[in-house]
Amino acid sequence: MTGQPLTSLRGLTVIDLSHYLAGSTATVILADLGARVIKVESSGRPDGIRRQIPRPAGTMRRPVSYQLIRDKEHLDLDLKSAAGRSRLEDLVRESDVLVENFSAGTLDRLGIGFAWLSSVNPALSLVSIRAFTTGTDLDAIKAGAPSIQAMTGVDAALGTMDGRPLALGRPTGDMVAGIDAALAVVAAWRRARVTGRGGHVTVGIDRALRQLFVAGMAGQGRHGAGPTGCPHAFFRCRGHEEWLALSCNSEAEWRALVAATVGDRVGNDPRYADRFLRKVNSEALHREFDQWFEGITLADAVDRLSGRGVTFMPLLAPERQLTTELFSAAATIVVRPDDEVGDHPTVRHFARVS
Amino acid sequence: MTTAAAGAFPTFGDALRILPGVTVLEIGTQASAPSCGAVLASLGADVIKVEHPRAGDPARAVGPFRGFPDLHNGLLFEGLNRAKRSVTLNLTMPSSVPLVAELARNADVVIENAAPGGYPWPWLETTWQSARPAGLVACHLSPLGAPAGERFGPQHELQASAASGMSATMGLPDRPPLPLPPLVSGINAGLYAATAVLAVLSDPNRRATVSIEVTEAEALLAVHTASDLIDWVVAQRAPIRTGAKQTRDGFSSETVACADGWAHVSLVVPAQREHLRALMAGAGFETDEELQDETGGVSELVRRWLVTQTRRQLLEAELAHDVGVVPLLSGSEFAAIVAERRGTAAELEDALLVPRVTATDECAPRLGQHNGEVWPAVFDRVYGDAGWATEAFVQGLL
Repeated sequence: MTGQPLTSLRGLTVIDLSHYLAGSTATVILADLGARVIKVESSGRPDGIRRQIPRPAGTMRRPVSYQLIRDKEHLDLDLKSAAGRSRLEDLVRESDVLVENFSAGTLDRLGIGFAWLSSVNPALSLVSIRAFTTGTDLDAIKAGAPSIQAMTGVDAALGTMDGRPLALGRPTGDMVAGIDAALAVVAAWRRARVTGRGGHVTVGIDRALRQLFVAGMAGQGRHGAGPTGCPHAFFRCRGHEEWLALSCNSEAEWRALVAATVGDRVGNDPRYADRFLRKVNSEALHREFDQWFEGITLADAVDRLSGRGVTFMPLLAPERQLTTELFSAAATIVVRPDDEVGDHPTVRHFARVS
Repeated sequence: MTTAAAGAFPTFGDALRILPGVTVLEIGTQASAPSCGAVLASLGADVIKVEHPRAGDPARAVGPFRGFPDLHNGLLFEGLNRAKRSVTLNLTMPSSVPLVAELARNADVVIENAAPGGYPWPWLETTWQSARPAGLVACHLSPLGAPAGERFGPQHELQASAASGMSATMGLPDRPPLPLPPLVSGINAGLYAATAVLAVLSDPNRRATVSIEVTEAEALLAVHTASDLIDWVVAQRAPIRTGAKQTRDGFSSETVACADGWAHVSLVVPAQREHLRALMAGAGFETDEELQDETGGVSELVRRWLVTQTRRQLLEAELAHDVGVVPLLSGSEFAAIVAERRGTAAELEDALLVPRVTATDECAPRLGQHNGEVWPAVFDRVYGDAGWATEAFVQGLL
């Protein structure tokens, strides 16, 4: 179901003053939808994301930045200099939306806040991304993604393991705020095309996180205490870090699973006779499957389960994502040549269009 | 829709209601298609949600509930389906054909997330395309998408968590990877899909039907884990499960026990490290010891200070001194603190991130009583600003 890339946002010009993750996530989504994105950095103070990730030996470009800065025009501007500001003024005149995720007040201190932007181009909208948007003194907290996730209840929702709290291992809030910001850019652009006037939209990472975890349901840890079926977990196959996800949500799936794996001894065990009993006895049930998967390699387990009506998926670490047809056949992962670091895989947004 | 409760950030109102006159047909359950529809509804589109006459959207039965269980409306369901209209139709029955055609004739967008094989989709798509020759936006959502075929069995969000690389970094070192909490994958995909739908709707040059397929796996990969992939290829560095400690560039970011729970300590910003040192010195923890131990983790000294501090004290200290230490809170604790600092009462519904009801509950849809009739504004409600970002992220528009 792959086809030509979407170019719906042709005609939208975005000035990208963002740094690190949230704003850049928004603007790369917009670029893949056809927008023209001009990323403004100053060589004296480049986007911090370039410092964040270890670079491969002998190269200048940081790998993570490639995903976030590809398909953007790059402009080196010092916003504190008269020349830089004058160039920005020209850009503002010919652009539709400006995206930024500085801390609150920074844009105004630079003299390029919403009032100034509007005076230069009344149709331009400003999309700002902030850590906290509670309207209280909490908004002054200088917090990175892990701290926001701890504060807003996300980590609490994940629960604990071995008595230790679990944390989301990545800056999920920044990324979801990136989606919200992309939505806000398109909405503001569309509105300005009708009314001729831009606006200032603020996206909160705190809100984005609470939006994503709106259900407020605790993570289930290992043994499926939540509303899903049982078994419902990852099982380690023979070898190092070889994991397979398994979920069983109907009697038909249970029969197929038992037939393909643990067999009648478990299948006929009265402790696992129906889905309620399987939940009640989930720890024992998970141990049965732990033992079975320990005796088989991941590749063999995948062979056994394929096409049998069993819901499963091998844990795909990056090297496997490159080759799985889930992504490559859909053209979601595209390999781009690069002079500095060789061939880069990159993840294209919305590749399945027809 | 009426305006939302007072808050420092003006709520949605009419500011970004950019989709008046746009009709959306939503044939979806649980999280992904409904959250996509929710975004479009909050932008002013008329979203008509089709539900099975008896079963309805299973999300209705997902708790927590507003009070003693009202089995028609879990709070999750209300959050995801606000400002929509609802119609009940049994799509497996031939008698629904003219009704679907009628709905499609008036629709600009169709969103669906039925499991492959659940409904006769090719037939439905033919129906609504012939009903709408000028073209519509069709958005298909599923955990893995059509290429997965029968191979991985009935599709489930757990597979998206496994395939996208999200689970590869969730959990503790040397322990099993963990699934994302329920419905997170679907909500993420729905928000992501809404961006594309809105973009296509906003394309003045669009002439024909555009069909967008978004999978939960792809939405997680593209937005959340793409950088891991590139990182791995260039540096040959496999992702690790994070556990309680993350160390990057030698600076620690870690969840550590305090007097009444846990706190998140970030030793990344140099100025904050100095503030933290000064604060600890004021409490008698003055020393030349490092704040980090030899492995880059939070030092014993900091740990000893932290267990003397309550989460409340830590929050006040952070607000007063910018030390990079914040309390680990539950969602309702966070909402209560926000309400307290605003000087408003912490209401249960704010804490649960759900809309506040002003319309009477009498208009809540009752399943099984109607078939083929579009309900009038059954979800017309007022929303507190603790809810969805799309309701509340507007500041100063107009």
